[in-house]
Amino acid sequence: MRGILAVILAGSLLLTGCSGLPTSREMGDMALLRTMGVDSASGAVEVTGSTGPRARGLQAEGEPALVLSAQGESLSAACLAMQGLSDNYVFFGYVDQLLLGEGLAKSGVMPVLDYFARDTELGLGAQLWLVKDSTAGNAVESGGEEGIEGRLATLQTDGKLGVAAISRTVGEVYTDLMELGSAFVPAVVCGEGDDTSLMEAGYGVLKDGSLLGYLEGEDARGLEILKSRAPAEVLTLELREGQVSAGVISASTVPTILLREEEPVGLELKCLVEVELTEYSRPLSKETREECTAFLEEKLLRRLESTLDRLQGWKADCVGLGIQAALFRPEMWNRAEDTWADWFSRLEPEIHVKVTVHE
Amino acid sequence: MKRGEISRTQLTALFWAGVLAPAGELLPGLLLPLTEKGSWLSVALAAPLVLAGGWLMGRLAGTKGVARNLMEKLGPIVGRGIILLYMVWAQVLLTWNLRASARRLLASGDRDGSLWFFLLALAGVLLWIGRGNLGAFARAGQFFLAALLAAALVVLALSVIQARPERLLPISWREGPELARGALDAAGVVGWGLFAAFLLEEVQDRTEKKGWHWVFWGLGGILLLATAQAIILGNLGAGLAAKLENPFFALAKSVGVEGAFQRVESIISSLWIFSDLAMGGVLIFAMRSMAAAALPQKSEVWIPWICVGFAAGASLFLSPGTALEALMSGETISRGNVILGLVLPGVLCLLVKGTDSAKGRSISCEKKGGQGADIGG
Repeated sequence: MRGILAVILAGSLLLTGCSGLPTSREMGDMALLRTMGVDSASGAVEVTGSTGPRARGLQAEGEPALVLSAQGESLSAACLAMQGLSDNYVFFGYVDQLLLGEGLAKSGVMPVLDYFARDTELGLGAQLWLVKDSTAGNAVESGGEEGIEGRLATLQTDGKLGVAAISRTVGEVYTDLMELGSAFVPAVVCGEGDDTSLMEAGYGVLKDGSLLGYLEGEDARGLEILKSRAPAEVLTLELREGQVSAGVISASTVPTILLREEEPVGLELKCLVEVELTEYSRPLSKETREECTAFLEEKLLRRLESTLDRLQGWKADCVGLGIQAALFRPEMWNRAEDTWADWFSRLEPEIHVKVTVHE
Repeated sequence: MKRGEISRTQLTALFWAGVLAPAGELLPGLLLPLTEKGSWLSVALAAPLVLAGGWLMGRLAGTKGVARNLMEKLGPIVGRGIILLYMVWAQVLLTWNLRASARRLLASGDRDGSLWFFLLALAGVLLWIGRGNLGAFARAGQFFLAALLAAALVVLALSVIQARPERLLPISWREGPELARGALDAAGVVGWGLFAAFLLEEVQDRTEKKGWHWVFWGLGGILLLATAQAIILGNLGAGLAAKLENPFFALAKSVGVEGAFQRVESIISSLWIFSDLAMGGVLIFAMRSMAAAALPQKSEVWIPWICVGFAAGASLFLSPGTALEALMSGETISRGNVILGLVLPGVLCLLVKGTDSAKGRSISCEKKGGQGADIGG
């Protein structure tokens, strides 16, 4: 009986707060950040966070987005400084969108990615975006009372469905930077005038953690084909029998490294692309189909050559063509791995595009 | 302890439930700097070593159990010496286990809390388990393993689609020596379970299909660990995984099902306590078994108090950067497990066999001498 009484008393002591348990927090007293923007600001780091309109706990549902911004010598210092700006406890555990300003991307993104990898609240699953020609702070604030969470979530979902640019997580980009030395990140731009919503702007290419440049338009679509992803586009062709429109439904690229006396001399890419006619006046004749196929193959070939030329110029194999080609050739990869970026820039590309047209 | 309380399946369930926590903590740190993207292969290559270790410990256990067999075959002095060596090592592992578990709980709460609180709470639960009934603990072990596997499989299944083969391959035959060293380290990590062999004397049926049972569970477990390692590397790559304190929990943080759940790492982290409890319980019951064999006239009631008390005290006052902490590094623990789970049992099996042969010859000579006397008489 005495033993039971002692246990009950000890348990009661824990309830009074005399325990080493973490301090409890009520959901209603927390500002749950959903989006985080990081910029470099004259030697310091600036963090802008947004809760989104419904992310401050159930009691505050429907309130406008809370946007907080703080500076610090490092990212962790800026995040800590943010705590003092709100009446609520600022919780970073729900951050699922990370925007990086162009300035920060040029100076180096590795410390930010590293912080996301190690921090207890933040995680590698957050979606990563580059803000072209502007700061992440501007992009976060551009959402106004509604916040930009909805727009980013739509872009992310569309990317997964294949109707927008490839969406990428912090973990995917960080892994590519560690394994390949370079990575591509979807870029967004703030709209001008009255419409300030975020728009897609191709991909930013990072090498050794710093931004090299952007792939936009045809080059961005070329990158998607190199990544074996069908670009979200409809191609319009003027053929002898009239105008037809075709959507790309699948793309697959198989790279092979061509060797001469065990030395890499060329990069062969076999691209298989399937398109489906979306608009046409009547079933295509054999000749028109051949004309359509030849037109598309030529167009996609030019596009891939242009994309590859940009990547080779940057010495950035951000798609991992080299390692994919060497998957079962360890001896060759052993020789080329350390200097692959240089090899990649010198290899003569040999691209074969085969298009299959479905009606 | 009562004899014949648990089944062979319950013992192997406790073995693998207990091994999961040290595997998650130690395997990345030991293997990734050495074998990089070949880490998953090193774990798979450890299978023969793990099976051999289990087989040798089983041989050493015979029908009476490891501790009693050592006392009987090698005599009280040598037998007690070897049992003492195993007991000291079990105490080291228990201390490491308790400390790692408390630190993980502390880290999952964003270091907002006290290490001593988690340490004492875990020590209390372990003491309760260790003073209790082995049969009840073994039944709980099956539940622990089921819960741990379910949680791990959810994380791995959600991650496997994002894994890339180019983060696991190519692996050159030139990396053979590193892979072999990695396999030894991986075997050392799985060797945490070596003390489960000291509970073989409590197994109801020690003869029926025991070889195949261990092959099935041993091989299955090690292949599951290798697959888990491959999925982690396929997602994070060797470089990033090596930078993280625990890549499995980092992976758990980044998986989720849209519209259902987004963050599962807290649940995974909480469930991992089952593994710590399984391993801690196995170590305490093994020490009880060893103490009962080495000092049969003494009561074993105080063994759990001494073991858990020492482990909690050592964990609490083990300052970072001291020689004792360095001694308890993952590398030392792994090598110690290989020595005590594979090398020493091999030597002891030979010694026991030699002793049996000598006794056999002696009996045979006595019989022959007797016959001669009879014939001569």
